[in-house]
Amino acid sequence: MGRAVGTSVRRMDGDDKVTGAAKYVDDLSFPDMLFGATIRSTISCGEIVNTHIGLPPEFVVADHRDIPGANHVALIDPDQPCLAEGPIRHYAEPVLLVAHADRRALFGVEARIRFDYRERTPNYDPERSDTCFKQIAIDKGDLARGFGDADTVIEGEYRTGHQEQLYIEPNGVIAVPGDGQITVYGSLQCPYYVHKALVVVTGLAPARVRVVQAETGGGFGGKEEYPSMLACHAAILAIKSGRPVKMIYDRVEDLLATTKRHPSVVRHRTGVTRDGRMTAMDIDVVMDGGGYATLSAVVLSRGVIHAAGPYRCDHLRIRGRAMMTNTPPNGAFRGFGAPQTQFAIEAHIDRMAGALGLDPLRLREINALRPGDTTATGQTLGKDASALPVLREAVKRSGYKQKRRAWQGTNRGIGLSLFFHGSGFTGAGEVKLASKASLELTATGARILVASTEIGQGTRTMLAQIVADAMALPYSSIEVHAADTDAVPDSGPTVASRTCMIVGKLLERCARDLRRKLGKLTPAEYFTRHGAVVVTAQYEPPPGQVWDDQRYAGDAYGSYAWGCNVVELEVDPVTFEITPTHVTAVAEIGRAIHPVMAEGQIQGGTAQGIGYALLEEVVMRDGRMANAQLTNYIIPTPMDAPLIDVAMIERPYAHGPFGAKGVGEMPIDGPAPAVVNALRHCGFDVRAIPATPERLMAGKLKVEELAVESFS
Amino acid sequence: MPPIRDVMPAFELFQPASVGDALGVLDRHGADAWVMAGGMDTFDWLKDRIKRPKVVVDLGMVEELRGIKDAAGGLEIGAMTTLTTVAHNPLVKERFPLLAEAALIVASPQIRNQGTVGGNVSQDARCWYYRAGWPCYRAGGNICYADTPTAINREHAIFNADRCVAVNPSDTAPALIALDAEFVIKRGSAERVVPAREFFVGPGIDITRLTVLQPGDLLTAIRIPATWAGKAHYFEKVRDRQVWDFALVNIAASLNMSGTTISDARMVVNGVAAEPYRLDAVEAAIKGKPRDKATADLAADLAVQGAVPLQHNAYKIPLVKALVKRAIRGEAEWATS
Repeated sequence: MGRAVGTSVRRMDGDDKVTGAAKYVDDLSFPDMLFGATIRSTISCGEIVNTHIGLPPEFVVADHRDIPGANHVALIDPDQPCLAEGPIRHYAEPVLLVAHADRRALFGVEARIRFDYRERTPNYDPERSDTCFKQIAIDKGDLARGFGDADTVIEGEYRTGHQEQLYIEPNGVIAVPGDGQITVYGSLQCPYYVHKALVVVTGLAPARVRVVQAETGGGFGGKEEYPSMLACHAAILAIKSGRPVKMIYDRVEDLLATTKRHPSVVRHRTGVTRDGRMTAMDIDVVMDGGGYATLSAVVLSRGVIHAAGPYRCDHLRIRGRAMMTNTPPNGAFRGFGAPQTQFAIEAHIDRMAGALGLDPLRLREINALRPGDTTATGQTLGKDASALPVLREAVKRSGYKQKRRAWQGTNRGIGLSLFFHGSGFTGAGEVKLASKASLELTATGARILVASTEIGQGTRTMLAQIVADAMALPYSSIEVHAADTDAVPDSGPTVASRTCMIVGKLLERCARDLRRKLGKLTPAEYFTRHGAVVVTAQYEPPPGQVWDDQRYAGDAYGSYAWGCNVVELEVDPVTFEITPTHVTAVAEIGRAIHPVMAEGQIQGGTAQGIGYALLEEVVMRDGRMANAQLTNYIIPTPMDAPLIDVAMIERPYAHGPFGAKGVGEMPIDGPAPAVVNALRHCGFDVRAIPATPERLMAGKLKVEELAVESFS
Repeated sequence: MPPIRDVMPAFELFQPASVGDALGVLDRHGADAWVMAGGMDTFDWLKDRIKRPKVVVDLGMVEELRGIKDAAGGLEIGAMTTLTTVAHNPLVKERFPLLAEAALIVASPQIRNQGTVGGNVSQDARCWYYRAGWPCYRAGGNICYADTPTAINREHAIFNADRCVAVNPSDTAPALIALDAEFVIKRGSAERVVPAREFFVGPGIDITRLTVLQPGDLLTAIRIPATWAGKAHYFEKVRDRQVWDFALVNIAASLNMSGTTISDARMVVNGVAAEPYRLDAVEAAIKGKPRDKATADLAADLAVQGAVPLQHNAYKIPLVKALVKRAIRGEAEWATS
């Protein structure tokens, strides 16, 4: 045991990807294949009253009347049509589908289709919306008493903008029809989500629908829900034409039409004693859901649960709302609500420290959650609660205290953020999912059967490491079956930092089970005598895990990963250009199954967080993304990313495979507030991101005035 | 929204191997012809199908348009010389490091390998309304979408806007003006030589072009006289991202020093108007003055006289002031600000 886990074995998918042998969806082709395109609304709010189509008959055209089943994209609420029937809630809403055998024939096809609209006044402001997708209330203790115990109350409002996932491979699928069934190949994270959506739209029995993941060039959450929509579109065209249909978005369409991170407004009112103890937290979270509900309810849920940050406070009230606006729907993105709310609390902590005359580090040390403390939802933390260990390690590694003093009053700044991230689905989510994973004995070892996808993060490699060690077999003897719904059980979606902790644990159980079956035999001997054997494990919650969905209280997650970022930066005193020079990223993740890949997740998430803080701005004009090109929506290049010093701390979680927790999302929670706190150290009051130079210039002029009330 | 943009539309392609052949093709096709140098600006226009020329004349095979040679202590640079070549050429670096620095900071290494100096000075505006095909003034329409109350215009002009508020995006253009370069333009059998400054035009003169180049014209070379060889210089580009990005504002300055005073100067900023914006008043005012704080402050105030910000680009005014101060004080401004 212990030969593969904890070592950075060779990536299972590495050679094929590096040599170009790996087949992405646009590399696949089928006989008689058509190419599909989507015709979208050009208004943000109103109805289509007439449609004029001037296309010759060799074009296949489909609208909502061609949908054999029900016209909605199956997710949480059935509110989003697969193809608009009349009402339009946002720009770029899909209305018609067109296919042709010659891809070039689709050029300019939209100019030959015209819609007559009855327009209505759109609303782009989530705080003025009269449609709420989801409200959540968390209450703990007695808020009035908490404020009564405070010496001062400090308020603040914090805003974050949209962010695009910017996977390198745009969305794409191929639907292949045949004999009362349909198969969809695609670039996607969650094969069974797509399967469920196709069953609804095609009206076919589940057994007649098959979804196969092609190699996928990144997702970051952006391929959690949108591929369901795209797969349905291709399927509608394939069913109508009787031919395979390929649909691949280009970058512009992908940016204009698909989901982004929810913009947020978070307001804090915090009661605090003179010596820095937080006695009451009153937090209001508003998220902009866009035109349809998609996953807003669960993004909001994770957002509000993380809104108090990794701090203890006996009396708190958190209110969250996800509101409809007439913009393309927002959806899943690495972090899933937590980056927004933890940006707010972490920026707020530094402002409070300033008002109290305390060092922000000291304020965090006083209030950080310790083992045995309870979170906002009342979850009692186990021994692996690591807020203080990551904070102390980051402070030590970065030389924070010395630099904080030395750089005071200069154009160099240093700031930190402390954060945590729950692994797996929230609350009873994992119980409802009831994920299954299987392991099949082969003549040479074992084959993993899961629907958890490899999207660049290392799923196949990491799962094979767990199985190899649990079976005491070499890593090279473990195979991973393609994520094909005809061949693998539903191990749940590849989201929520759950693949390692939840699915990895299921496979560890399978592996131990299979090892018991083998007894003293080798896989080859057992296989010769008994043939193939498959073992399956289904999710069971750790003992004692309780969640009350009505009161939003209890054990929100099986475990949390913990992180601390220290960002060092320089501000050019005349151009206000910000140059991040160094980031210290300390993460407590239970156990690093594959240290190089785990560090890669932290490096990548940190760089993406730096982009969120400084560069990435989705400019919405009249409800559409005005900068839908990579020349105008900019993400950090290696020239913009600072050196990132990663340190991983391992405090094993009893119910994770070999002690592992989730690592994928947490790294993006911390960089943005650490950047803003470093800017505060340089004398800039920034409460909204991205912090562009011109905003900084404005922030420099106004000396911050804190809203401080005295209760004494 | 075109559903598909990644395939070239059809056009007639000419790949002449000599300047003479190129001029012949341009003459025959007149306004139907599109001159393509490295293609870095062209490909976007064609793939987005915003501009749809019938004929594309690719200069990639015209070897005589490439290369850098001595010209009486100055240099003559072929229009098709790549930015990488310009940036690393020993003669350019020795005589006109201002141009080498400007060329080296354009876009990314890949784009500099393909993009040319002729293309860099001739490239079109980046205003995203214009690039997205909105029927604006520059595209022949009768509205400026970037200058409406809800417009997004942080990249746009603060000087000399005339209906259109787009800016010239080039990094090498201000450097060439600050070096008193001349642009050689051929047309049929005729040749004319235009001072760099006059090569660029604002919307008041021609709202649909950023340069004087007309159908049939071919920019063949850029000549830099020996005047500013070895003189003091300053170049700086401010951008959102440290590579592969256009300037929000850039500045190019040549300074001739006699002792500790400035005896002559050229100072040009770009990204602030439809043509590279030469700071004539600053150049005149700093003559005979030392490179000190007082001169810098005076110059900074003069530089932004007449600036009219739009809703989202007022930051460019203090930015221009800051860059002018730095250009005058050189490294000193970094140390003392």
